[in-house]
Amino acid sequence: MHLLLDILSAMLLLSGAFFVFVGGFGVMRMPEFYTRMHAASLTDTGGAALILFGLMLQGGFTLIPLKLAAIFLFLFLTSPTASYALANAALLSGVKPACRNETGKAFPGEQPAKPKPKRKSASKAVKARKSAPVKPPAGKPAKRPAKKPTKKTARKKS
Amino acid sequence: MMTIVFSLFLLTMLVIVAVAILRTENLFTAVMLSGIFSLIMAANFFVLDAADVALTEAVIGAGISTVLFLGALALTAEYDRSPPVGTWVPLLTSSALGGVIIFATFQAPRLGDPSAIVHQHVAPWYLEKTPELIDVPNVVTAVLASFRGYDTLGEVFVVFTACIGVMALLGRVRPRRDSIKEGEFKKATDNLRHHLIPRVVGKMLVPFIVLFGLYVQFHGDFGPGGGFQAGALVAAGVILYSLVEGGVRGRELVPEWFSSVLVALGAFTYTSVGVASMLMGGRFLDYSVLAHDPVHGQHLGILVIEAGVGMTVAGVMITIFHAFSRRGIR
Repeated sequence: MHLLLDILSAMLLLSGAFFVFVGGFGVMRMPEFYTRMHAASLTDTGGAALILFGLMLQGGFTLIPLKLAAIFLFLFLTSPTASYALANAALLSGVKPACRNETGKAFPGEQPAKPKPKRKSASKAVKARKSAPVKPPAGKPAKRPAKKPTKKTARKKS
Repeated sequence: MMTIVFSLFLLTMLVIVAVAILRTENLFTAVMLSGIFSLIMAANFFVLDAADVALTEAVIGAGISTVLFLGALALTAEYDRSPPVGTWVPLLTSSALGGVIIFATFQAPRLGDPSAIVHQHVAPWYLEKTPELIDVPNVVTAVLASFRGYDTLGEVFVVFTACIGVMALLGRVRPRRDSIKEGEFKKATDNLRHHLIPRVVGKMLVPFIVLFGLYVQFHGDFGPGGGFQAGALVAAGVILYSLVEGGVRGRELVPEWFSSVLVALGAFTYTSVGVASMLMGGRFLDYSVLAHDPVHGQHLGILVIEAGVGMTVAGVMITIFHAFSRRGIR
């Protein structure tokens, strides 16, 4: 039983660490603001949740899992909200998502996307300075910037 | 071992963030980075087992002061101007100073060295006598509130004076009966209509933040916490409410007259505990005479002065924030 719990929690912890790592990788590699934020926010919430669950299993029948659950609830509410607020603020201050379809043209109804909206996102601490090459993993579902009426996918295919 | 690795990581992050703050020209970025700096610093304090300080740093450094900086930025410009003097003199000065400090650290005792001077002086006496004289589990609270009650009184009055100074600078507007006109109200809420999700989530969190603040206030004898942290937490809850609902609503929730009264009332409460202990035959801030049992008297005194500290800190934070937000509207 102990072994089972340990294995389970190790799996959760490792997958959480993997999520967080992938998130950091995405922040470094993604081409522009919204995709970077997508990478950071999604994996952050998921990875933190997995890590917290893994720690909960280690806590046993004490007060610790309850406290961790409270932390999880808090993160689960605030982290997506923060990402939403960030995306909203970026959109309101005029950062355009880089929209291209497969032929490399801008989507109809959109302004021709600038190659790279080089706005420094104010709230991410240490960003990659170098402009990352345009190479998102193929088939990765790209996220709509939150609450946009038009369906835009920030997908870039070179 | 793990502690050292973690500390090294955190300190490296601190240096990186500090360099980033220096290099950026956008003041908005600099404010955000300084918030991150405080958060890393809080984690560092926590690694060093200073949970009380970590709590304060996280709430005030990363939370409230970031908001206040943003409020100041809203009143001024967003970009840095080039410094008025050349870069050589400041560079020389700061590198000389940094060199001196680095040289001084070679003389500092190792982390956790039992023969260090700070561990030889009065600290052992505090640790030994706290269970007997004051009987609270958290020695930090015992030292802060009872053994070193004068110092804490001084701190409270520093905060009090700082609040007066800020109000003198920002020009406190007379609360003109605070009858908020419908037009102003609508304007303030209209601006926030686009931010529905932060508003809903923020409002959901406010009661829990205030509740946690009260817990920290009254649990300060037993665990990390106390008046400073609790006051900052309660103020953070009010500030969050003002941020998501607009300053007008925030001033409706905690009117400006109330927060200023709170500032004075907290300092008054603290001082009057000292006067009360004098009247009851002890010395100033000697809580032992407050009850029949000296230890019980200590408990009572600590409870009341922590409440005073909490009131002052919360009042100061809310007052300063309101002063900023009121100026921002015009």
